[in-house]
Amino acid sequence: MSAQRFIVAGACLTLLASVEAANGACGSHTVAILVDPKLVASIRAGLSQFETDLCTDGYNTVEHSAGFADPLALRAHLKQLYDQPGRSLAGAILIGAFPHAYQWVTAASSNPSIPSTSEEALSFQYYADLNGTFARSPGYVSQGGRPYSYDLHSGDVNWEIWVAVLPYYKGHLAQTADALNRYFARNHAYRTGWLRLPQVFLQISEHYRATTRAEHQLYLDAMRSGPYAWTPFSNAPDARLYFDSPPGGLSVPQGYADLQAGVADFTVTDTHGYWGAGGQLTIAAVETNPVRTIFFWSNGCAIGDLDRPDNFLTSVLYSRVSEVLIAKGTTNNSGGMGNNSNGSFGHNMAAALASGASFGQAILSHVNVPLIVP
Amino acid sequence: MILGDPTLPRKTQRVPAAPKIDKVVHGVDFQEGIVPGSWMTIFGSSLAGIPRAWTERDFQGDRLPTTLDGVRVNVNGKPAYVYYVSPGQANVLAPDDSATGAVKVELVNAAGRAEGTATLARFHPAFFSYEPEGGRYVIAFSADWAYLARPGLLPNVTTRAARPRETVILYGSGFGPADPALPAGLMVAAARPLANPVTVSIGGLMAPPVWSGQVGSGLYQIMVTVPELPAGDHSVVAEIGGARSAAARMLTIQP
Repeated sequence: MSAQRFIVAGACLTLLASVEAANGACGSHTVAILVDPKLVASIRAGLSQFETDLCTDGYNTVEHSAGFADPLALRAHLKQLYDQPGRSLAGAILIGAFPHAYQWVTAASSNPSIPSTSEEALSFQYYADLNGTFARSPGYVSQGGRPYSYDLHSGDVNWEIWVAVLPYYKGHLAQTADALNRYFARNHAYRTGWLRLPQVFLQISEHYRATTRAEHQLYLDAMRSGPYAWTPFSNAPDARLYFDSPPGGLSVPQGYADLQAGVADFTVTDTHGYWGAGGQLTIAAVETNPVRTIFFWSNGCAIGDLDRPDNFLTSVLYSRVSEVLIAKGTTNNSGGMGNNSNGSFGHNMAAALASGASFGQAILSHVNVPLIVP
Repeated sequence: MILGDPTLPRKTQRVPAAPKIDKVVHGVDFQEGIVPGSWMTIFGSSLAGIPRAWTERDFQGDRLPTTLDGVRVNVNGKPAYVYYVSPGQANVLAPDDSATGAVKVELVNAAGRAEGTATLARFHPAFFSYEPEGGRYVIAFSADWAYLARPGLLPNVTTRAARPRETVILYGSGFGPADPALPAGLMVAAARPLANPVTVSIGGLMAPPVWSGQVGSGLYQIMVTVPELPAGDHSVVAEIGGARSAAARMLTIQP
């Protein structure tokens, strides 16, 4: 162990070629860990600890630390792993920078007065749906001039695996390595019981504003147990639900104060958003004020736009004062994840997690049921 | 999209395992023998949660912290000063003590306590070394603060070999008390000379002393003149109070 020997200057640089290491005696499922080769040497110890932690919790890992020429090659790699007998690939974690595919997507609103909107967005569904077909219709032109942009998605559109990213931090190699090493240490601390937060649900809505006691109760009931509520998390007796309500004595800042105080392990924010902020929480705010929760779910638009090196969701994950281990947001302006025949994504996620599913399994349990108009 | 680790369930969290000490060693050469007022290292498991070094917020005035994230260490029953904690390693400054020989080292954290033993010595000099090549080369500076080491040793840092007859500045720990003594638990506001004479040899030849003293908590600065030696790597050895540093630390010299 030399991490804290007293170094005046310098660090070893090891250049690695393509490396594939497998850890195969841990459980029945496998996680593919794809590592940007530029990062491998500087995160080796932390990454090995992370893989050991996954093994302890029952996941085999297969690490691949070579680059990919394009999204086709990366998807083919995942498909090959998925198809291997006995591999039982559950998901993939992409660490660093990888080629991106894009999709032309349409977000339809349940409110008829809000027209549907279409846009070209960075797609990780391209790597999650390994059996479906992504294609370009005749005459389709990528708005961004991107070679791997698709407007058609057909066939078996279910997701075979979940896909998560540990992205670059501020577009800077050394800062990314530092952030990843902090992340792996935090993850290890959580898994070994050193990082502990109360199992409480916190939801902050910047969309509601009650001006009467009746409105206060209406909004509170909606967040607690309405059709879009995160039941059974949200109707637990200790759930903390916040929106601006002078008559009810609630406010959004109270909710963000709770987030800083670490009163809940699971936090949902309902806000407007863009790459630089999720509602009142800006990049600067989460870089300087503690984000003390383990699961962070934001429904703000485009907060996870990885085309922006300084996007909000990445700062939530990597800030030096963050305790977040898993963050969900969108790369585009769709906000949430829609409804399916089992209900809203909030309820479906909470129900799956409450039954013991992992976050990735819960996502698949929602996505792989046909969506319906809310 | 998902950032982070989706294998996580929202489950009942584990209780941290109790700490365990594997060994307690000198903080610079990781060999047996710790010295009051100098750096020591504890290796083990479940020593702490998230790795962290002390920051300004951990100090009370000029007093060094004895607790970091709930981790505290006692050496021979006296509180040590905790600089860095992690699951597998803790770096602490040994408290002042007149005892020598085997002593009990205790680490306490939120999950429990662990005991180990260490050998307390009056002196155990050791030089800090650059990280590459297993710490083969001592950290050395010229009088105008150029990095002295084998050229190319450090990526993105210009280094050069030391020259015979020039003054070099070395750093270490375990050189014993200063004169007048500096309490281990207080920040070092001003450098003070060593209370005991130190000799340094380079390549087996005596290196004439220029100045030797304590310049920080557990940190000693040794300034010597490089003797006439041929080109190559030469071992640097310090001796104080009858204790010698390991001969495995090198300085590259080019006349």
